[in-house]
Amino acid sequence: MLLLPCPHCGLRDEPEFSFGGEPAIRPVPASTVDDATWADYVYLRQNEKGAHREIWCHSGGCGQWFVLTRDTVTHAVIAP
Amino acid sequence: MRLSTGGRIDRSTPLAFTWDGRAMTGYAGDSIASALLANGVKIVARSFKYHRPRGIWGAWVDEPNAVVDVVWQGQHDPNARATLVPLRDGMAVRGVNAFPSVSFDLFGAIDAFSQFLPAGFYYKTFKWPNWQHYEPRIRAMAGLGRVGHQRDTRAYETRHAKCDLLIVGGGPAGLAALRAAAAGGLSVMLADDQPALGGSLLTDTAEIDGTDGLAWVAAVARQGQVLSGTTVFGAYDDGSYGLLEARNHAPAGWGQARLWVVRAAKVIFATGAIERPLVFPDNDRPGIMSADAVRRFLRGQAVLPGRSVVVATNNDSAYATAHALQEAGASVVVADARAVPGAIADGLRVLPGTVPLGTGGRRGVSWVDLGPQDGARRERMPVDLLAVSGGWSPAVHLFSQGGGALRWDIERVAFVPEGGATVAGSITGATDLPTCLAQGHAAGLAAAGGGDLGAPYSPPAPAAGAVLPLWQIGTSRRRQWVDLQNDVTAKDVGLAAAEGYRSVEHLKRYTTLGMATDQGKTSNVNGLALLAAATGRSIAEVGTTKFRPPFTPVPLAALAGSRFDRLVAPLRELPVHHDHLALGAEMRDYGGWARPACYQQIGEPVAAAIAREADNARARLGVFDGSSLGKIEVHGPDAAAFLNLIYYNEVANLRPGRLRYCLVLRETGVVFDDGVVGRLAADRYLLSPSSSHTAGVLAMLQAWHQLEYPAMQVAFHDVTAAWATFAVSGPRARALMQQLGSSVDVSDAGLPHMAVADGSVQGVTCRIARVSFTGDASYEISVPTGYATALWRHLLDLGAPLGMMPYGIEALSVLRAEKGYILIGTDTDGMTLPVDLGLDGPLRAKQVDFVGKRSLMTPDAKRADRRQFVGLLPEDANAVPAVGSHAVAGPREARRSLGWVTSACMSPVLKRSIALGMIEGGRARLGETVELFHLGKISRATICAPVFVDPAGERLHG
Amino acid sequence: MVDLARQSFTAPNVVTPASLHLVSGRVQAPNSVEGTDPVSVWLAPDRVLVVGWAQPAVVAGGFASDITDAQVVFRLTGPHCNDVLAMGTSLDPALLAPGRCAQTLFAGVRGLLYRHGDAVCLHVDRPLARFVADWLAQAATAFEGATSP
Repeated sequence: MLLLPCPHCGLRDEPEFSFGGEPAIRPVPASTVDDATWADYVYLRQNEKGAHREIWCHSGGCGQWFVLTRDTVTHAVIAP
Repeated sequence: MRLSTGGRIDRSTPLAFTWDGRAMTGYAGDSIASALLANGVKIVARSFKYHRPRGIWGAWVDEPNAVVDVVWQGQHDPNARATLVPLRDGMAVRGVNAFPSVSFDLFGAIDAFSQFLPAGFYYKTFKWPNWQHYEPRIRAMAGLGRVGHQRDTRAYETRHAKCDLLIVGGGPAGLAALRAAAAGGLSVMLADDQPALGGSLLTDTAEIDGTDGLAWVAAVARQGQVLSGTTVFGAYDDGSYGLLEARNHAPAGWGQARLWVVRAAKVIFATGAIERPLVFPDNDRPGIMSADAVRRFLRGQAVLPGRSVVVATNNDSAYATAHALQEAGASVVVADARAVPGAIADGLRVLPGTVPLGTGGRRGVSWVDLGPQDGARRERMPVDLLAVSGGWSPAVHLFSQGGGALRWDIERVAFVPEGGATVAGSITGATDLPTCLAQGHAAGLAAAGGGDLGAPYSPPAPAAGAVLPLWQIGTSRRRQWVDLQNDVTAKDVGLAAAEGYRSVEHLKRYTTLGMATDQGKTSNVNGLALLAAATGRSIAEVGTTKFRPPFTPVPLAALAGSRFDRLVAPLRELPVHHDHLALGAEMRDYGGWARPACYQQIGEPVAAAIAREADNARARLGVFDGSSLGKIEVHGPDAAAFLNLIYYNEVANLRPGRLRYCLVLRETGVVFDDGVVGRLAADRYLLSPSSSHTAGVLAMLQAWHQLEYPAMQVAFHDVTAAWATFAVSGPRARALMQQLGSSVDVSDAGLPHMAVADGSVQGVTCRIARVSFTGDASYEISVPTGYATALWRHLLDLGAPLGMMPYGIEALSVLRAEKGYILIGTDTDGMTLPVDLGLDGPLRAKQVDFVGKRSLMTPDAKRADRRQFVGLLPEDANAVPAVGSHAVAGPREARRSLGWVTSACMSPVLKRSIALGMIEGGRARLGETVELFHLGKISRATICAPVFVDPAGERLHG
Repeated sequence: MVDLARQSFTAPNVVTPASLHLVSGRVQAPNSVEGTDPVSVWLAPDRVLVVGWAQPAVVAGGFASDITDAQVVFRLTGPHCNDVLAMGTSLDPALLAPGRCAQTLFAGVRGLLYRHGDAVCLHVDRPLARFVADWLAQAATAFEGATSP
């Protein structure tokens, strides 16, 4: 059961959070983006082994979204 | 047999129990295992595969054989480990996996065919013509207890706790750590899985700090939070641990175990070590026991398991058992595999350089052949107990789960912890009390960050002798057992290696070594050592299999806690839940809410109730509880602009007082939710997502605001539970609303379709929206939830003379199907785009980059053959096609699906069946007949526009 | 004319504040509780819950939503209060110091916890109040006549 750092509420247990995946820059405006670039944004992520940027929501707590970097091998939170 | 004195049992409290129907007696302080031994029971089980008679080997979690069925006070455990269960008065204990009994088992005949049933036989044999012919019979002959059919209705407690330091193990090392850490001011929890604290101090007397060992234990235990009878079964992330505490006196209605979830900043593993068996021919007979277990039964329960004993060992530790047995009056011979045993041999008859070469006595060991390892000589000795020690394996399970690494120690002949979390005691390979105390003390001190408390003192112990690596004794046609519970032999290990299963993980899975309920506690190291020999590698190179929780089995009921039956999942109740029940409603779970499916009148079948409700709402007047529909207030100067970036439809130009039916898409363009957006003021909106998607829509709004558009000034309030909403619908709806006498003008002009107004009714704040999900004129009245019951009953009173009846979800589903209104997740799926639903207008009109917009411009989104939402009129007007039936084309051998039926029902207005579906290019196929395929049967239907009643929508005006 | 009566949710240990308002646009220290009546309880960086105990709170200006009927407040007191909290939530009890609040999961549902006098207040959404009341009633039986742990 991970211990995750909500920037507002501090360290809380994993069941209080929802995982939002790896963030990506949204290509806008949509009309200037080609199909391949848009598909990459919607479906593809780096998914690096090791340090991994992730967005989480403290859905069982204050409901706020935040970004952190976590090691996917050791599960340790590296940053913020 | 039971000695007349000694042991920590209460001889004044005899306990009556039965074993396989035979009446026996034990005492408080006995486990089932010690009571069976005291009563001279030899055979307690039959092995999994070959049904060989088996006896008790160990005294605690290391026991591989004695799985028994226990019934006590109406509670039934089909797979209890006899060494772990405290004996209770009135217990009925039975053997398992045998017919008619473990004592006389007809399936024992299988053992004669064992050469045809080696490890992995089911990968090679019993294949023709079909493995499924054999599998049920084979499974019936190999197993454990029979599950009872009585439910366990007790709740189990769960407790969360936090501490600075968790110490696992309450032996001398763990207690020394507690003493030092508590002195340093830490909050300490200590968990020990035995009923009494003290570990090895319970078996052997000792002197610590000038007092008796157990007195020292009692004094130290008062210095922290100590949980006895508590197994730490798993080490999880970030210092979280699962503990299972045995409870002896739980209150009525509560189970005999408590689950602890502990978060510890630091941990010390003082979990001890487990004795290994020796691998020699016929080493599985009842009466062959762990030497340490023999001494624990002797000292703990005054049980003498035999009077003519051979102690076979490759290390010093078994000598303590030899001495203890001799003191108790048994005749003892020690067969020491080592050429030079140590000074501890004084007073005993010892045969150096001697190992067991074979045993006899099918129903209980009666002789053992002793001699040198090469088998050059054999001397047969009659015995009724063979106490064995093959060395010690540190109990590194939890340490390893927590990420610690292991090192093979050649001198200790054991895997010991290296790096990782702090360890102390025999888990490190230590064998003497002073070392264990010193290690525990140092660990506790370190956890506390230092201190000047001195270590506990115990008189020095003699230097430990060497351990002789001894993995397999000679080769023989007689089988040598490695995993007793799963019947895996040394030959099976060789077979696995020969067939290429060289990895220790493959050895495990191919032979099932280590996969039984004891999880290889006494077999893993022996097995991998044999694998090393068979593959020409060192033990260190082979390594261990991965350790995973739980360390011992945890009942599912203990994990469920009190979350079962009505508490299994939070179900939301409507404000007038009890009024619905009083009206005869059948409540079902719709999207996490208990809602009325229909209101059955007495004796009325469900289908008839649904038809009656739908018909009445269409013809006269119905009332529906829509309180679960979401209500999200959105406020701010940027509210309109923000919502326009989220919704598919244009919402910024919505005028105050107006409503619009809108879709929310995912970035993939797929429809996520539909609902109604209402504008209350220039800077204020009220969103009505569907009941099941309210939380999801709110999360989406907050995510987009916080992550993508943080500069926009907008805020969201979920007020779903603050308002109760009732919809009145039908030709007489306006008449009812006028009688209600609210302050809102409910005339067609005053409140047109898709308009909303605030007002009051009988002095109570209300909001009235004119919006319809039935296709008839429909008004939704919302009041603060506290007034829900009063308003609901008032509406029913006012409506009675108008022929009003309440209608449930199922009737609503029929009414909306007649109109072709979609249900998200029923008519749509994870691939449905707005254009598939015929709603592509907003895409052309809307300029801003709303969520999912770009995905609607891809080639795939523009395919002409996409599945489209259409109506279906079945050829047989009385048959309702099954939802999920595929529309098929092509010849029988090459059928292709064109789509499927998404909704289907009988239409009360048309008095025939209707359906909705998603069909390839459906809109261009209006009028065509299509075949519907379901469970091997074909029916036919005509494709039509997805609206069956009032296509022009005139009924909306009432 | 019919008088429409207002009903609150009833169950053991339920208290009914005079008013509850969600108010956005107010900044307060995270997870802090300010005031005694009305009490302002932190929910999010830009949102608080204003609780009027004895009389309804007057919330002027900004974005305020009256949610008085949307929540049910359980008041946990007595010798087993801390045990019940330990059964229901993994929240570190140290986070419930005076003047502090926490939104967390209690018995599996979202709840707001803070100390109020000698008790702990637990706010849950009204639709889930029956579930929570049943859970608390079940938990209370764990302490009836228990002779030892």
